[in-house]
Amino acid sequence: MKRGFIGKISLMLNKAFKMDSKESFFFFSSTFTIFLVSGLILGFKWFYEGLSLKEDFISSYRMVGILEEDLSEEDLKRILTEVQQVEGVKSVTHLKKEEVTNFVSEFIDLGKMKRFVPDVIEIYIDEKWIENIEKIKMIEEKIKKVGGIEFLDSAKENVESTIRFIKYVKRGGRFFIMMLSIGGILIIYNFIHLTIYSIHKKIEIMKFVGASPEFIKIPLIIRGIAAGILGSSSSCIFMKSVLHSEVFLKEFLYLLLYSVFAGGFGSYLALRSKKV
Amino acid sequence: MIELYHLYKYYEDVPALEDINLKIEKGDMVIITGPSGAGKTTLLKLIFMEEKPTRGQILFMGQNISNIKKNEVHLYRRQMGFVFQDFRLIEELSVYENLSLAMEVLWYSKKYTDMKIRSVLQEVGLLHKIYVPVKKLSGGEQQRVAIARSIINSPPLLLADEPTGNLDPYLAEEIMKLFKTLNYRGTTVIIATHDVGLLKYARYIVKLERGRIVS
Repeated sequence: MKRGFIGKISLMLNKAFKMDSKESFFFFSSTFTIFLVSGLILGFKWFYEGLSLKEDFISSYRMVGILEEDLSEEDLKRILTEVQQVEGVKSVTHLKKEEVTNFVSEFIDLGKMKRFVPDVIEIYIDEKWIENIEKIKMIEEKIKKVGGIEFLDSAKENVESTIRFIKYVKRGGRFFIMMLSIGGILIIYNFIHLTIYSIHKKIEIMKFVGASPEFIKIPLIIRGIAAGILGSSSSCIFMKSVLHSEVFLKEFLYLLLYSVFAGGFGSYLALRSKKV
Repeated sequence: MIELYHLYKYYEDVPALEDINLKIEKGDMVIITGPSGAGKTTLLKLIFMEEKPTRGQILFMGQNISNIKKNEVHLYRRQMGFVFQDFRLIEELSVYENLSLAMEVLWYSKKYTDMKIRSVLQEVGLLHKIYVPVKKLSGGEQQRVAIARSIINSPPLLLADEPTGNLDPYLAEEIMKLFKTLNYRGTTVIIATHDVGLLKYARYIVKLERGRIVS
C-alpha cells in the first residue's frame, strides 16, 4: 500500500523535475548562469595555475658575471670550475668579448665603445633554486667570493618582483574563484527563492494535506543540485569540445562536487529564508 | 474528539477569540455560526493548527496539541481534512493530480492512490471528470473535488470553512448533503458558516459573537 525506498525516490525525482513553464524558465536560466560561472572558474583556474615562474618568467634566468681584464686561460678555467661547484649552479658558460659584442650590438649601437666590452660568464641556476630569493642571494654571495669576477649581476630584484607579481595574481585568482563560487551559491539560492515564490500556493496546499517539511523541501533541493550539476557539466563539455581546452577528470570532479554543494547549500538557504 | 479549554486568541492586542470552552464528540456534526468577524475562521484555524492559540488548551483525541512542535504539525493534520471557501485546488492540474497530491504526501503507492481516487470521486459523483483540469470545472464541482481531497485519506475529522460561500443555494444544499452523508459514516464534521439556512444539517450549533460563544 505504501511506497518502498525506490518508490519514494522516484516520487521525489518526479516532483523535482515536473515543472511548469515558469519553473522551467527559472531552472534553465539558473543552469545557464551556473554554466557561465563554471566556465569562468575553469578559465581563471587554468590561467593562474598555468602561470609559472619557471616556465613563463625564469626559463631564461641567469646571472651574468663580468670578468676582470686580461685573465689567463688557467684563471678562466679555475673561475668556471669554482662557479660550477657552487651549490645550485646548473651550468656556466664563458662568453668572449667578441661574442658579447655581437650579442650587445644587436640591441645597442656600440660605435667606438667596442673595446670596452668585457669577457663575461653566464651562470644558469638550477630550477628548484630559482623560486626562492634567499637561495639566489646565497648563490650570489658564494660566486662573488670567486676571484677574477669583477662584477656579478644576479637580477635578484627582477626575480623578487616577478615572484611577488605571480603571488598576487594567484592570490587574486583564488579570491576571484572564491567570489565566483559564492556567486554560484547565490544563483541557486535566488533560483529556488523564485521557484518557491511561484509555487507558494502549491506548497501551501501540500502543507494543508499533511505534507512533511521534507516532502516539500527535498524536490527543491534536488532541483537546485540538478541545476548546479547540469550547468557545471555542460561548461566542462563546452570547454573540451568547442574551445578544445584540456579538461581533466580531476577538475571535472572538483567542479561536480562544487556544484552539488552549491546546489544543495543554495537551496537549503532559500528554503530556510522562506521558512518552507 | 476535540476539547477546547479557556481558549484565547489575540492578534497583537485585538481579541479574536476569548475564553472558548467546547467539547465535540466523535461522530458529531457541528456548525459554528455567527456574523462576519465573530471568530469562526479563527476557531477552525486553531483546531487545524494553522495558528497557535495565545492561551488555553486544545485536546485532540486526548492529546494536548496547543504547543505542538512546528515539525510535527503535519502528523496532526493528517488526521483531518479541511475544506475552504475558495477550494484551494491547483487549477492547472487535473482532478486526478489534485487528489493524488493528498495521497503522495503519505507515500501511498501509485496503484493504491489510483484506486482510492476512483472510489472517492465515485462518492462525490465526479468520476467522469477525473482527468479534467480543475479550472474547467464549475464552482460546485471544484468544491466537490476539494471535499474528495479532504476525505481521501479517511480522516476522523473534517473541517470546513464557509464551504458553500461561493456556491448557489442549490449547490450549497448538495454539498451539505454530502457532508451529512460523510457524518453518517462516522466522520466528525465541523463547519463554519454564516448561512443560517444550513443550520438544519447540524446536530449541534455553536453561535459565536465577538469572539465568544453565546449559545
